[in-house]
Amino acid sequence: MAAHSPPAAPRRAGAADRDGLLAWAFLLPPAAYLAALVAVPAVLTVLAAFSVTVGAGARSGAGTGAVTAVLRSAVFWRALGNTLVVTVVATVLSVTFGTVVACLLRARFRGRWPVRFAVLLPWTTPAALSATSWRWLLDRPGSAAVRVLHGTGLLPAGTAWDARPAAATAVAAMVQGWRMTPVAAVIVLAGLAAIPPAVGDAARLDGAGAWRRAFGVTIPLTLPAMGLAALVTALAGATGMTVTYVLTGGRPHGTTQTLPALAYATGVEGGAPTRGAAIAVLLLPVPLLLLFAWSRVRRRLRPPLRPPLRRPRGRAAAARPDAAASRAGRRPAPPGPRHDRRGGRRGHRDGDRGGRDAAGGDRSGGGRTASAGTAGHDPMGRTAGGYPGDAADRGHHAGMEESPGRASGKARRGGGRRTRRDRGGRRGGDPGSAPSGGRR
Amino acid sequence: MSAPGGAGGVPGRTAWAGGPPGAAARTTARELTRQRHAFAIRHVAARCAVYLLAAAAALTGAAPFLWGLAAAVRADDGGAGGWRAAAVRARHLFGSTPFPALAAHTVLAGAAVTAVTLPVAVPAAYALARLRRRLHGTAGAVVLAVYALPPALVYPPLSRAVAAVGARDAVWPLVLVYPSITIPVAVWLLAGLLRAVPAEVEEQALVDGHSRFAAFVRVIVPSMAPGTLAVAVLAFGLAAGEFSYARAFAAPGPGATLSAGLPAAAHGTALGPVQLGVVLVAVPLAVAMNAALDRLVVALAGSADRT
Repeated sequence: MAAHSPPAAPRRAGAADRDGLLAWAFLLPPAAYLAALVAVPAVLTVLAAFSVTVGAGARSGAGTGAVTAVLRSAVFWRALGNTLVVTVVATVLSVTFGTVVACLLRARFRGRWPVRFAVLLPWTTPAALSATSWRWLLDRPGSAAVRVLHGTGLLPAGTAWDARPAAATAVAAMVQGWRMTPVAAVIVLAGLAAIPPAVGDAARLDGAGAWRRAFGVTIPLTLPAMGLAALVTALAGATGMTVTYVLTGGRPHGTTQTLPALAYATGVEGGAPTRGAAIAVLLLPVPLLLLFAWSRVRRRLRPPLRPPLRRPRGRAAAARPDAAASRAGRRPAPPGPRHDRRGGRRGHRDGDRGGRDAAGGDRSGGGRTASAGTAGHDPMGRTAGGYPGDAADRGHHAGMEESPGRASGKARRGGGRRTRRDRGGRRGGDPGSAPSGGRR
Repeated sequence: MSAPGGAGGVPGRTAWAGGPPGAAARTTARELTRQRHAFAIRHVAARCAVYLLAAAAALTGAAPFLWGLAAAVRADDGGAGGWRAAAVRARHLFGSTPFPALAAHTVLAGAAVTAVTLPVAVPAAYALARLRRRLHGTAGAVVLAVYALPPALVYPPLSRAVAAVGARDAVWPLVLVYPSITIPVAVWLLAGLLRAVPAEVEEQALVDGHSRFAAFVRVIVPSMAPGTLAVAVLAFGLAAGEFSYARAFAAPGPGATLSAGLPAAAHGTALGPVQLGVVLVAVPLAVAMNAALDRLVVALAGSADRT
């Protein structure tokens, strides 16, 4: 961190000291900008779809005429179907391969940099350019891509890829998936990086092999990141027009058009702005639905912020780890990214009532393991001082799982008293160390 | 690898209490050897799998660009192949196609957008990470909402306004609109980065008598410089690659960016030069993003639990 020099002379507290004012001054420009250049045009477009013209004073044309006309046209429904197909297929492809690529990028091997470069190419290149390249590649009859398509049976031999709507849509979906794989990979990579290494170590020590570790430890801990990656790629697929517009352009005969591209083609190129606005408004439910689905799902992918309050604290919990942990086969909750983030503070509080947390395991939305071992025993009896959970329960996994390295690092930084008390040999869980809980 | 105390050998590692190793020790030694062999085979297989997967991923990611490169160095009928053909095509690309102008506009737009985004995003990120922590979750929701909004909803009124002002062929309307894409992402990522920066140095500056703003300028901004650079790279890439607004505002005209103009220009000219152009655009962007990737991952991980 760069060293700074103290101010030359004592100053009076002025405007630059007031946190509230500063926060407003810092947050207002982006908020105002977004309101003016995103919210206002969006509202205007919605109004225009219902033929409400602002400022012109003519309300005679207002109504749902354009919207109902669009709803009645077959083109709209086919485009909606295409949009959904492309979105779903692209999301599945990119999240699956993105996860694979993310695991690959975490491994150490020679030539990692060129591989990373090649894997990032689909996303960093402007979409229009890569779509154009794909289009050329597919238009040439003897090219490698066409041969692969023929070979895998996705395309009957002898037909062009854009001669049939199904094949064209499938190809567009695949290109969109190809383009979004690096995005998914980066997001999942971030999620993987947030898993503390001690969790994998604990699993390995418990005897979990590679497969067990992958499916029992890593994947469940990465689920939030995979969910976010799925959301981001789905949103891009649902609202982006680039790939389908440049790649297929609606070929053949406009049957493979997707909704955003249709809105553009109708509104801007076709010179019918009201109809284009209507299509855009009807397109809106798709991303809204995705956001809503995400808000429902994310809670199940992550543990809730606060552990339930009804668990017994301290000694009582530490005294019955086995009975509690074996309840419903639930395993002690793993530390997700959230746990790391508020590292020690969270680790404190949960370590404090460590017996209670581990006992309930209720912090996980579904039973997940951070350690592939059986619940309720501590094979190594790890008690090295830094583990915040140790004080509360000795015979329990929670001690090992509470991201010891990072948590104790933060604990030492943020709340040193807790760790010192740990090392002072406090055992048996003392809910009286509540101050650490208050640090949130 | 050496078998520890094999049949009849003197045990080098294990100390047996009195006497030469018996049947139990030999069995153990055999079993250990077998396990070591098995582990070695598994290890080699795993490494092979990693390399194969890496090669497959790299090939798939670079597929159309490799093909473009191959097309660029392909010999014309009756002409020479290899680098000379590529040079001819490059000359054609830079001389006879609108590529140079498009590229210049793209770089200009990207740089301007980044220059606008960063001074707005860095303070906002500071406010979210340090001054108003409770707003961070809301900010994440706002970022997602802005990302989810289809451009088809936003560009109609804007393109009408741009046409009314008569700026259809200029770059500045894009510079005005692109920050709506880059600012939310930049703020979110920078806030994530800031959460990883310990607060002690800044607090020390405050204790020394600086105002909050001065502490921000003197301490936070320099410490965030690498992360800000990475986010700048990302913002540039986003601005350079944007298509919807570019087409809606400056539909292939002289002021277009690469994204909007090249596909249209590609219809008229030969394949080879334009493909070379695509590769020439793709490579620097990917190189820059590759360099910035590590910090971006840290930023993502820092803000992940706020989404």
